[in-house]
Amino acid sequence: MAAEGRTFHQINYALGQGIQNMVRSPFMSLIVISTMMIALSTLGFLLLLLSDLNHVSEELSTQLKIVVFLEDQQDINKLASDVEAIPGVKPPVKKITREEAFESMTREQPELKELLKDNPFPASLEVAVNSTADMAKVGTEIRQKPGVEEVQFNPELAEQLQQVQNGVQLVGSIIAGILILATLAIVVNTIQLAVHQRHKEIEIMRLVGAPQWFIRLPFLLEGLIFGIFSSILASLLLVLWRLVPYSQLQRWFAFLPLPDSLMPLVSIGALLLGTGVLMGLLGSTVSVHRYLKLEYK
Amino acid sequence: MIRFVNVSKQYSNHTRALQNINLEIPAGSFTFLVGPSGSGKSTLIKLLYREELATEGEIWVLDKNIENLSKHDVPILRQQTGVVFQDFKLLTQKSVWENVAFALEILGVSKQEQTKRIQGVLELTNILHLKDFYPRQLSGGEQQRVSVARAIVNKPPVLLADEPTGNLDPNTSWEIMKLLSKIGKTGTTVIVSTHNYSMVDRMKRRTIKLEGGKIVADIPEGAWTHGS
Repeated sequence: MAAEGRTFHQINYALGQGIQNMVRSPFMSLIVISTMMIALSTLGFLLLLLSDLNHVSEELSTQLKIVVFLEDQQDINKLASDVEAIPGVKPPVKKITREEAFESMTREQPELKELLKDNPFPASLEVAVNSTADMAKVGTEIRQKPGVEEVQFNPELAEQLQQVQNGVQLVGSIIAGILILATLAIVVNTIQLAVHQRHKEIEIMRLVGAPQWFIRLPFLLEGLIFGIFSSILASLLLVLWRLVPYSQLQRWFAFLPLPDSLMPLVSIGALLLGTGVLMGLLGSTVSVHRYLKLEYK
Repeated sequence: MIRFVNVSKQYSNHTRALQNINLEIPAGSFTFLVGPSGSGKSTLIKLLYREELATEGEIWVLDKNIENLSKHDVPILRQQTGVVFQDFKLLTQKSVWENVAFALEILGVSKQEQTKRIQGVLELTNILHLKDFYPRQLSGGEQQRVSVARAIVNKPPVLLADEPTGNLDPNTSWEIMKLLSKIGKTGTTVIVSTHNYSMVDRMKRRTIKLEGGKIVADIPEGAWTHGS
């Protein structure tokens, strides 16, 4: 028989053993998969929370605007296009003519219509910025434009929002890092249980002269399958959360711009799958290695 | 041929299991290792399939000094040395047939070839009728036959048996010894450690006696009498 045929046969058998092992000890497989699922979904929830918080603070910051009041008789269109050209400004700039200002003020307080003979309201622009960090710089630049009477914005609020955003990202990354390490430790130890359950089998494989890769292969396959199953289950849990209790939260916190889309789940799901597979493979490699290192002298 | 040259083995807890062993075992011969518990019989066998490394000396098996084998070559040595244990070491989740097939699967032997070889060894060990049974359904003697079948199914030139009858009653022990002796007659080098002297008395094969890690007697075939 050709060497390739032999190797193919060996690989085939080793992989078959991996599947058989899982089917023959369903309880152990269940323990490993559910432990990994819990660890991965905790990580997933954290990532989703970070993504949502990021979305909320970004939405909030676009609601922060610079209001620019114009001197009388200025060409609002020209100034608007000048402002739009400033780097950091998020076009379009909203234009409010004197008439529109009068209209909206008198709609709010109809009694003004009678009190006022002239229209005292200046024309204005509402300018949004790409990043709240740029707000102070953009504001100062607008102030220097000819024809600008006054610029109003709240740099402190913008700065605070930016700080919150940075803080959330930093703390989130630290927690995510710790969680990944903790998950890895849990996964390695859980798979170690599964490997230990079959230490006799490993011993016999060694005694009859199985090459090391042949001993490892079934465990690697198991680790891979554990990783795939547990990350898919963890992702499903996230989708379920997003579909049911989260919609309720959206109704309760209607004043917050909570994101609707399931989009972040796609990338988080992919990330969990990658993490799960990597952890499964790493977990079984480390666990089997501990045995083989002790055994082969 | 198997050759020990000035072999000593000291375990990490300072137990001196073997001291300055010099020994030659010709190819195709049958040899008993006897001696009280702790005399070094098991250590000597473990050295032969590289379960342990000698502290000093050279051990030659099949023209190789196995002390110098790389990790990757250890499995190859083990494929050429069948080992039988006191506790059988069978996989409880596999049938008799699967347990024996296991030793061929790791070598990538085709199913067709496997069937031929397994059938042959199960007939030789007289357990073909038990091929679909699981180890827990078998008696000790039957389990040991499965373990022997697994050890010889890929026709290793060397067969080692470490106290193969330690868990068996006298009649069953005798059956197993006859089986090992039969395998020895096919050209396989067989080494059997035992403290079952009545077996040794009956068989009258070459017998090496160990005490305190030293060879105290090397009695040629036919010359053993109890108390030698």
